Amino acid sequence: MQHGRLVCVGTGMTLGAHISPLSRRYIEQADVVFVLVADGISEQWIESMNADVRSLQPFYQEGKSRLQSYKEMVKVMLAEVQAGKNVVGAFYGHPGVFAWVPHKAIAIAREQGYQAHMEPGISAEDCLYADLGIDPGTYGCQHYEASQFMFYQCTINPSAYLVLWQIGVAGDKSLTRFSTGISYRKLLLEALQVHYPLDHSVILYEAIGLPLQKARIDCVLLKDLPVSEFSLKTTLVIPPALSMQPNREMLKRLAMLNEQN
Amino acid sequence: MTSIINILEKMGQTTAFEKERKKLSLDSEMLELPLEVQQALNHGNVEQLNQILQVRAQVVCGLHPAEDPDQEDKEKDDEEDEDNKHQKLAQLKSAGDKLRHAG
Ligand SMILES: C[S@@+](CC[C@H](N)C(=O)[O-])C[C@H]1O[C@@H](n2cnc3c(N)ncnc32)[C@H](O)[C@@H]1O
Repeated sequence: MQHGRLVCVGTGMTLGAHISPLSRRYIEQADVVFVLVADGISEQWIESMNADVRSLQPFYQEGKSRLQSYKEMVKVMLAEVQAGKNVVGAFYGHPGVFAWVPHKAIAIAREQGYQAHMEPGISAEDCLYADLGIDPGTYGCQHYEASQFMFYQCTINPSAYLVLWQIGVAGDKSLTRFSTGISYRKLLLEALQVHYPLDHSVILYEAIGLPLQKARIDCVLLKDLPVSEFSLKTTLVIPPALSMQPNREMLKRLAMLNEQN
Repeated sequence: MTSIINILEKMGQTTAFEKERKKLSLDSEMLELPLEVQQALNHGNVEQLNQILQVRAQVVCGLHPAEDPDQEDKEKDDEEDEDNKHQKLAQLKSAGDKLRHAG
């Protein structure tokens, strides 16, 4: 094993409330911490835990491909690992949920013979289950990155919940925008209309980031999606529109099996 | 300005029970802060806090591409391989043609 190690930790969604004791200790004990969180105050909070905290924010620039930014983030973290340091990547939420950078950095570090692992965190998904009273086990729950949902023919089950992430940049093929407008959302609506009625209620959700904020839980009709307000932090939650359809054939075969045993 | 961050961190760790009892140890700590900070904290004025703490107000939090870059790189490689194959075939064909004409 080479010297140098990478640990990607989650800081949770709400400042102070969600970080695990272990993740915090990794941040405190690292030689260098790279941070990517959802607001400037949380960034300063992480800075208060270690003398060498470096923000990954400067890698983003409007007009520059985010993919390029992501690759640069991976590179800068790995350079410190290769220099033999104990490196921590502190990412908001869960570092492995809709987060390419930490997964990629860990994979490359391992390929290069370094020790690397991930410590979980409380993600937006965890918060939405709590705040919206949703249990993914009740009807099932599908998750897609919003643009991916538009670019590919996804098989949607309207009897289950559908959660669309990064809805604020839905449809941005160039990866250079920090928001997409009404025309993009009209196309998203078209794609959703195939599965859901226009008067279906959907939820625009934003978990608490700073402990002085309130969660955003806005119910809107599907048809109003194009004119609704989104930020980079908004997640779209679509409740089931159809009751679950029994699989009669399978039920019959299971009944026969039960009779036999 | 660490004290504001400390207070925010403690706010994040305050239970609803404590809030109901309205006996927060935080209250006395808050009183030690400048009035404008107390107001920003009480009113949940994040913009004002950003200014007081001099932190970046514009933060991007996307971390995930819609399309798997590794898959895209692979597809590009495959496409290039395919192009190379076509080029090589064309070269072989024209060399064969030349030989046939020469013959
Ligand atoms: C790159 S993903 C990162 C998710 C993060 N790793 C997590 O564990 O939640 C960014 C997306 O997460 C969701 N998100 C981020 N902050 C959020 C918040 N405060 N409330 C709800 N969803 C949020 C939004 O869909 C946003 O576009």
